[in-house]
Amino acid sequence: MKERVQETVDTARSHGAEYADARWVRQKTEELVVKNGALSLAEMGRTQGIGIRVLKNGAWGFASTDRMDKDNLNAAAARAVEVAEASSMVMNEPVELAREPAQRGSWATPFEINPFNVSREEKLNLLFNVEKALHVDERIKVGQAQLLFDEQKILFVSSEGAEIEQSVLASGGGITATAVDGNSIERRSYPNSAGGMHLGAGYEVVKEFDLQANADRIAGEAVDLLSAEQCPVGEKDIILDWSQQALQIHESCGHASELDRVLGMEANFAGRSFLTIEKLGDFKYGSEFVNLVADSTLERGLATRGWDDEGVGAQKWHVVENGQFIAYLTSRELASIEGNDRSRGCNRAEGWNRIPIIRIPNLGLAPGTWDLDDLIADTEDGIWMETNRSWSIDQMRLNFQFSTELGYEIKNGKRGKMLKGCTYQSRTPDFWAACDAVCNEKWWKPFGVMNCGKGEPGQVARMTHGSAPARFRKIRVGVSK
Amino acid sequence: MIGEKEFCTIRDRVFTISGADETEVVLGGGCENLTRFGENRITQNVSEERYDLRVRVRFGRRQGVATTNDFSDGSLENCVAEATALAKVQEESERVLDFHQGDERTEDVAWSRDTAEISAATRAEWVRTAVEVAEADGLEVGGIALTSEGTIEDYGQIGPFAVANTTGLYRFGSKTRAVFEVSAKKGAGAGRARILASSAGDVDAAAVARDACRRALESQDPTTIPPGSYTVVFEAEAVIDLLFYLGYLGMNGMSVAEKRSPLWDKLGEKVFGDNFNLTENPDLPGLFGISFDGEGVDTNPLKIVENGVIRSFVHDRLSAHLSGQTPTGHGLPQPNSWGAFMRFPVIEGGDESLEDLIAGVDNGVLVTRLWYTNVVDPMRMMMTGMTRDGTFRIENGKLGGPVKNFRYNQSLLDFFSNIEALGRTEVKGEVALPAMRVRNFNFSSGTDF
Repeated sequence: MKERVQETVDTARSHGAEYADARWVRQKTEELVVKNGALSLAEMGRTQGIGIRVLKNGAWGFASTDRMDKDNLNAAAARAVEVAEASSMVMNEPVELAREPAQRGSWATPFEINPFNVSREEKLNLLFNVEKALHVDERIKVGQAQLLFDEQKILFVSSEGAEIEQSVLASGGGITATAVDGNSIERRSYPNSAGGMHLGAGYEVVKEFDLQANADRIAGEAVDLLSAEQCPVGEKDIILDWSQQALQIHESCGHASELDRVLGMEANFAGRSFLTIEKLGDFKYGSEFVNLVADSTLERGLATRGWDDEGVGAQKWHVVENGQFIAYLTSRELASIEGNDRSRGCNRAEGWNRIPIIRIPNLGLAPGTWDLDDLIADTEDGIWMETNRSWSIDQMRLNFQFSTELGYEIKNGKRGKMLKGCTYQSRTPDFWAACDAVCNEKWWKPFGVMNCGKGEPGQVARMTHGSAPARFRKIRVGVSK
Repeated sequence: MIGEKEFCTIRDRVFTISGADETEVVLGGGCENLTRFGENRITQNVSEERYDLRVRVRFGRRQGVATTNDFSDGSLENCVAEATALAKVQEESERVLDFHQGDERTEDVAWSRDTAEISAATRAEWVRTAVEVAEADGLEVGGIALTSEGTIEDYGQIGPFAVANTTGLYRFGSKTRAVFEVSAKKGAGAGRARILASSAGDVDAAAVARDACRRALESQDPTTIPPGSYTVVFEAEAVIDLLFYLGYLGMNGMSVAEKRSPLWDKLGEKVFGDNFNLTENPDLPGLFGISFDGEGVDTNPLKIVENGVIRSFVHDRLSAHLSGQTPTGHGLPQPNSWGAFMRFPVIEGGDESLEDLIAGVDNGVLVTRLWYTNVVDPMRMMMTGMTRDGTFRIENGKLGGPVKNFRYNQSLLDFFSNIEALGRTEVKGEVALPAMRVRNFNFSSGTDF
């Protein structure tokens, strides 16, 4: 395969490309979903193909194909050059790539148990048993248990001499119980919503989740929520759990700091960002307790790799340090805009058929000093919000409204009654400025996001947002009208 | 692009290999070319050819699925073997149905040669035209110029264009799509316009760019008005997201069967306003798409809401089976957890112009686009989201100046009951709907721009 991929790069060069790279990706996916006692999805997916990216006349072209014979590959390389020539019809300055030494090497996600070697009987037994355990009450109308395993083998070759092989693995799953009573519907998920929790690891994570031990609790909470009090309307101190914190970081910091978005390259679809260029190094994004750290080397991170999809090595850096906004997420094309001579290595593609674009890496809230029990004890009038349920944010990443599956009232330092319909609404810099406490390393956990959408054509990316629970003062809650 | 001959070869090979009681092949994908621009220049330009073959096998009441994009003999054998292995480790389930029986049909009403054969240079010309229009007035534009053949959809997901099974069912559809979308910006003003068509020949790049730029110029220097409950005029584009969620949360036959839809017990009851009529109509001129679903069931015209009364839900074969209803041709490839989706929804319009709709408002707002709509409470169909790309004050029946964007929290049950007046139905790709005036729409907060 290496020869064929190299030949494709050479073909693009022979058609006049000033730069060319090619990524061959072979992807294998296994997805199993048991719903209400029946297998509602059992699918083995395989896809492979090649994407060729070129610069001609200083403009980008990209073509992909899943037909791997020599004629088709050569035709795709020629098509990429033709597309780049068309791009150069409407351009300003020619694209200049930040320097990156041509890397040759390999990297693989560390894992203990290859999920594809675990028997299907074992996986299905787990799912059927766990799903059955969710039906603790006739009001549980939908029980669902699922597993997803995904492996990508990537070979990257560039005309600068890079030759990189990577094997990227994601494993995980989860359970969801939906309770319905009349006009009320409540859902609880474990370990996370939106299909469960996934990490850059093997089948061992499924064992660690211990879905069976949590099924009864989750289902019981879904039923209890039906008769729980509605989240009050007003201003409260809120403490976010890991799942909600992950969503909060993702939407209000991750996307806001993508440099392509800042420059207007996403304006038509995902939008722009309030973190405009003049704010770099000179903007108070949050309180002094807010440290947001990008880390493409994070253990078990879904975006952890040796290199990104243009051959830039994995890095770790602060996006926000002690509340100050100090860095963007960049690619080789845009690194110089930030004033750097090297990309931060954020250019990733969903698969062989997509051109790499700037994606959020693993991005976490650094631990603070609080013990969670002390933080709750220190809160007089607050709400604990747990497991993301819904999200919406404006196209500049300022005004947002998020909600969680479950809440608990906190009164005079003690956890009180269960609350449903927990929503909160704020403006990004105001919200992070209201952060006055972050729990310590003992409480810090990575949470994966599997469904980050961006780009046209649309691309789905994965990343991990680690955090510990944190408190935000006087936030508007209970907004549902 | 894979044509019928190649699909039939793949189908025959799979059917020969498979030892299942029934076997189904579903093929989707095709060719998509997309030129993306921003900052008045082309920033990304891609050309893709991609397919996804799903092989589903049924042994008694057990089934398994495997997918591949490698159509060599060895790969197809492996695909059938994996689907078979998945089926054989399962318990029998009454939710596994016999495959759909049908005849053979081919359709190409939504296919156009000029779109299938368009060049990258032509798309770049569209972009150049838009940039020239924008620069003449000092604006910045971004957007997409997209042409495709087949069924690669907006977010990269693949829909079916061919379905066949061993009962003799055969469906093959051809489809092309041309999209030109422009987002314009100048200062704090923003505007967006687009055209979605089956034929690239229908794309008037200058007209689309002029619409977007006009809106951006009109929305300069927006002021702040307080959030609250307003009478709102929605342009047709601004209703598309809400219509999608009405279908997803309320009309999806699987949600109804599982009692997760707030409408699950409302068949035959009046739920919405007298003037709300919703149909599925693949025959409406201008709507384009392939009129069979992921199991090869034909999508025929269907009354969903008539004068506010719910007449039908949309079903795949499983949700129809569970509900004692008839499949309506709205299913995804089986099995899946999602259920059925509206495919050619049409909201019946009235005869008012946009100016007429505005004239009926004393103190209200004109919304041209909604953004990042999401569910807050599915049983109340409570949605939240933002306005975007041009929001305007209406005072004393006349369009006032631009206002800063709002966040809304709004129940769809109330929204489609509170329609005061309807504009003329406009076709927008695979949906058709009118502008409308709606009372008591809830804006809960504002934003900085």
